[in-house]
Amino acid sequence: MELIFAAQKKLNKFFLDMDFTVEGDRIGIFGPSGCGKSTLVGLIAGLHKPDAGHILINGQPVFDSCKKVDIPAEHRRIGMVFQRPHLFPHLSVKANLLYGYKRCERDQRKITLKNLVDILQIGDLLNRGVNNLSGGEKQRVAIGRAVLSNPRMLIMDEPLSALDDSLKFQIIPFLQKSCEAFAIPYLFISHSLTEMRVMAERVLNVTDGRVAGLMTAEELARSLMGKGPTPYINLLKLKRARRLDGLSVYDFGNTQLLISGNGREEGLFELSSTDIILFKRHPDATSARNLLHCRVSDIFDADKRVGIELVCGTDKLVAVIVRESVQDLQISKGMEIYAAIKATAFRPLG
Amino acid sequence: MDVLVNLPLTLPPVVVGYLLLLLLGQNGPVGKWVLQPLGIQLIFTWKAAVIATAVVGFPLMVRSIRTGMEAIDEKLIQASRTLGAGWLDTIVTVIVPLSVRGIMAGSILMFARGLGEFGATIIVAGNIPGVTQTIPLAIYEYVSSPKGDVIAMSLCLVSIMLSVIVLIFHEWLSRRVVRVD
Repeated sequence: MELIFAAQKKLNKFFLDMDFTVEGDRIGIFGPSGCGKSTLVGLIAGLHKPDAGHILINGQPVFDSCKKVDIPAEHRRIGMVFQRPHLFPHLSVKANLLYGYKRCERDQRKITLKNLVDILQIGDLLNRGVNNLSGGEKQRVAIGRAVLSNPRMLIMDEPLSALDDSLKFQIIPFLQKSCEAFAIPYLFISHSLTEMRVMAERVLNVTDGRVAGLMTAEELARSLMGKGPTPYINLLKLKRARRLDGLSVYDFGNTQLLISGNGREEGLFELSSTDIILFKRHPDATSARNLLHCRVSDIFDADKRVGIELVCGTDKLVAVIVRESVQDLQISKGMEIYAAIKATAFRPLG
Repeated sequence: MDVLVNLPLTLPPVVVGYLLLLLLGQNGPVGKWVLQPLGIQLIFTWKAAVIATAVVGFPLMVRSIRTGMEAIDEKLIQASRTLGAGWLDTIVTVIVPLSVRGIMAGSILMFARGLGEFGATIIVAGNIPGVTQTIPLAIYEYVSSPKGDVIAMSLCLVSIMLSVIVLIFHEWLSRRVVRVD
């Protein structure tokens, strides 16, 4: 998907003025609350009208003030998943799901109810009223309703921010599976860096109605290192769990990670960059259950600290240490190093 | 527009009736240029009583429907549009079904107001027994005539019962008008 946006919109004292071109199927729009993310997607979806400018999706103009083009929202084929499910309360789950499908041109109906129901695991809910669903079920139906309208693009406007952490990471696989299975490109809007790193490959950083930069999610995470109270978080997608003395063992690069708790066979874990202790030589003994033999692949500034990128076989970790430690350990690119991590330092997501 | 819609609520009903008479009467703009060429006679018929009652009760209905519609989350309308529904489609499939309680509550309120309508009706429809005589007009006539007290009292009781039933139903419906989603 290619999105070309060059438009302005004034809303009371807020002024949105953006000019960017972005390509890709998993695009993130990141920024703090009130920076204009929702206004931007409203302009793209046709829910708001720009004062001037043009918006093109895959070369086709959906708005152009010079050529007097303004395709109404209902004809843009842009599905939306909102912060809250916003299901139609007077309709059943099935009627909600089919609302967009029935209004889609027959030759564009590539996704069917059956395929979608299987992916979202909502077969048992079809004949129920939407007021009898849990928060997670409602959001799955909302995703299904948008996907089943067979859109050429999906906009997810902070679809996870109203959910608690546990539910959030249960919904993410459904979002990913739906978009991957039906090859729907999406714009994912969020102020959460973690969500952005999980959902987006290219990220548009928005600040105060302007585009502050276009980068990968990883570059964004590193650019924000040290700028907030939260340290850089390593997101690890780990597989093949087995039990060993009350710990779960997962494959990681050319080694294994020991994580406390009854882990699932596959899962997403977060590990704070400040929870990794570096040793220049192999320590004789340590209380940490994980001692990884790594290579330093990158050293970069993280405000008043230093970020150390470590390679363990095919996987990477980022540790953050103070400058004095870098000097003490004489860390340089390419050197071999040991990283100690406690088994309790990993936090399962979802 | 707001002022125009709500005007019958604050004006004395007699004034509303008189204005309707001026408008719909034989020399009024609507009466002379629209009704007469079509051969329609409104004044002093039951149709005039219906129009007078409708005009006086209309603001109550509009206010109730408006409250119902304003309670609809705007995001539901946005969702409907991004799912391919045009404005008319959205009104028919989302806005009206979600306002149905407001519409019903407004209709009941308008009906209740209509039951008590006197001033506007007597001006445009007169008080013709069996043709344009409503309960309030009949009570007025029986109270004015000797030995009409018993019938007037009976009609008062019927009127009170109808009003109580209608208001209880309205109250029940109003409590069910909750903000959706």
